[in-house]
Amino acid sequence: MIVCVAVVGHQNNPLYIQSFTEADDALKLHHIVHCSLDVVDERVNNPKKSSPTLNETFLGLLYPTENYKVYGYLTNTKVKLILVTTDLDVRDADVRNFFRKFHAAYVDAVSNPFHVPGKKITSRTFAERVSTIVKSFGLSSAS
Amino acid sequence: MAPVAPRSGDVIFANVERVNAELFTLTYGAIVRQLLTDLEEVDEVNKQLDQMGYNIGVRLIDEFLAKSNVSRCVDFKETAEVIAKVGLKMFLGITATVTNWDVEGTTCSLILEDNPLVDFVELPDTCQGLNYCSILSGVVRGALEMVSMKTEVTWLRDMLRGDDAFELQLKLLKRVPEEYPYKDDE
Amino acid sequence: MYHVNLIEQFDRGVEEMGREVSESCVESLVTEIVSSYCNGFYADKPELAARRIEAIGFQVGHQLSERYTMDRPRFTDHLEAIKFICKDFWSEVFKKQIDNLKTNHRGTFVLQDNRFRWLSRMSVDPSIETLGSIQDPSAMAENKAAQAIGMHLYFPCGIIRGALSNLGIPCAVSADISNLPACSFVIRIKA
Repeated sequence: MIVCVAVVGHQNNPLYIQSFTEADDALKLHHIVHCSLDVVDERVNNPKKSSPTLNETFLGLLYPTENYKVYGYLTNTKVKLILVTTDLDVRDADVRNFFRKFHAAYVDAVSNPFHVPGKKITSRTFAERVSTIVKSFGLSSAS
Repeated sequence: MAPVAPRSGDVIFANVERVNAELFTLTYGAIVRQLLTDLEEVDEVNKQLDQMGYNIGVRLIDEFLAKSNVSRCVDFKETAEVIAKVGLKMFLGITATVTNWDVEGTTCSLILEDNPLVDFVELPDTCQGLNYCSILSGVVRGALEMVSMKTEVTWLRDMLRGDDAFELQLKLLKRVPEEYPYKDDE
Repeated sequence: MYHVNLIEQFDRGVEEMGREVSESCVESLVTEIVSSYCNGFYADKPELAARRIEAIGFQVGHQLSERYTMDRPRFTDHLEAIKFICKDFWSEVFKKQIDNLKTNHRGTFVLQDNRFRWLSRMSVDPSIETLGSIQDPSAMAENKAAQAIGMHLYFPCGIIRGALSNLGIPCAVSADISNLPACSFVIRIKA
């Protein structure tokens, strides 16, 4: 189950963060997202030369904690997309598929002429779309 | 010589030079946002967009007539159908339904369920008075004026404000005889 | 200036087109932006009009670069990003690629489009036909038609600057029309 997703600007400014848990652990999740940003920077600034993922937007598993797995994605415009899940057995294809849809939703949200670059994404359409994507996570990797 | 048959909107659209709609949609959005910054008043922005549309309509009518082979419409009913099925199609790739005719046959509505102007657009709460699509009503008014019809074109429903469709009302005010082209006397 | 080969790597197949509109729609909008700002509210302040037109282009370029880079790996350097502008980006917007790319390898890039679509298709003053022969830049500056074209070009200059800025490359962009209908865009990357 996805417990948290986030969009973070190129100066590590949060543009959108949403948790999907019943429990009151938003603060903890925000902290996890925050910590993951350093890992993203680390990955991007010191890429493993042998890595096949060099410059690929999908950064893969950033770090596992005791209870969570954190995945990252970095767009060409230096926007970070973060996914936190409690699933232990996550398929790579599902995560990639999630980020592809999440990225598309983000791009449409910032295509709104009234969106100000660098400002928080307040669009209701975006929030609904993200929630749908989150719910469909792992159900089918075919689409 | 037999008159050339008017061409369908689909055929014309397939043959005109086209570009991906994103460029158009985003350019229009950027214009609206810049106008809001520069003119401040939402009403002024509505007026300016309508005026820009009018200027465009005045110019585009020639391209429309040349490419559509539409010569002269019998009545306003036919005019409205031509706008809905040929005009909108050849420029925006969409069609509209014509409905809500009054008994005199001078007022009707075009219903648009799809509109490339508003892709990605969400109105902020501060802009609720904005008629985002004002440019389109201006285009229709300008184009019709070039073919001797003075009209009033108004948005009645707007999906950006939560309505279930876009409704553009066309009201024919007067026909100007062809021999005396309408001169702006406002 | 060194010539940069544009025919290599990254050539993507023609993608399926999404929604389309007639090209006249885009051209009509650009014409109206220019006439509204130059003849309307900023008639006596051409530099202000220019800045507004450029700002509209900037927003469009900023958003387009977000959309057009969606399915590709991140660029490793400035040159790669500029090549993207010359090829994929230009093709989406102008239906052709940039014909010639040059750089001094010190942050200046010159993108030449031999037949810039918005000038060749747009109805600008007919006297522009004679402009190609004007060699003296100061004579050109006095030419009204050249000024009108110049105003039109603030929009694509803004688009390029917006696109690059969103890709993390702050720059200044200007246009050179001394070779009409060719048009060159000069990008100076800010250190």
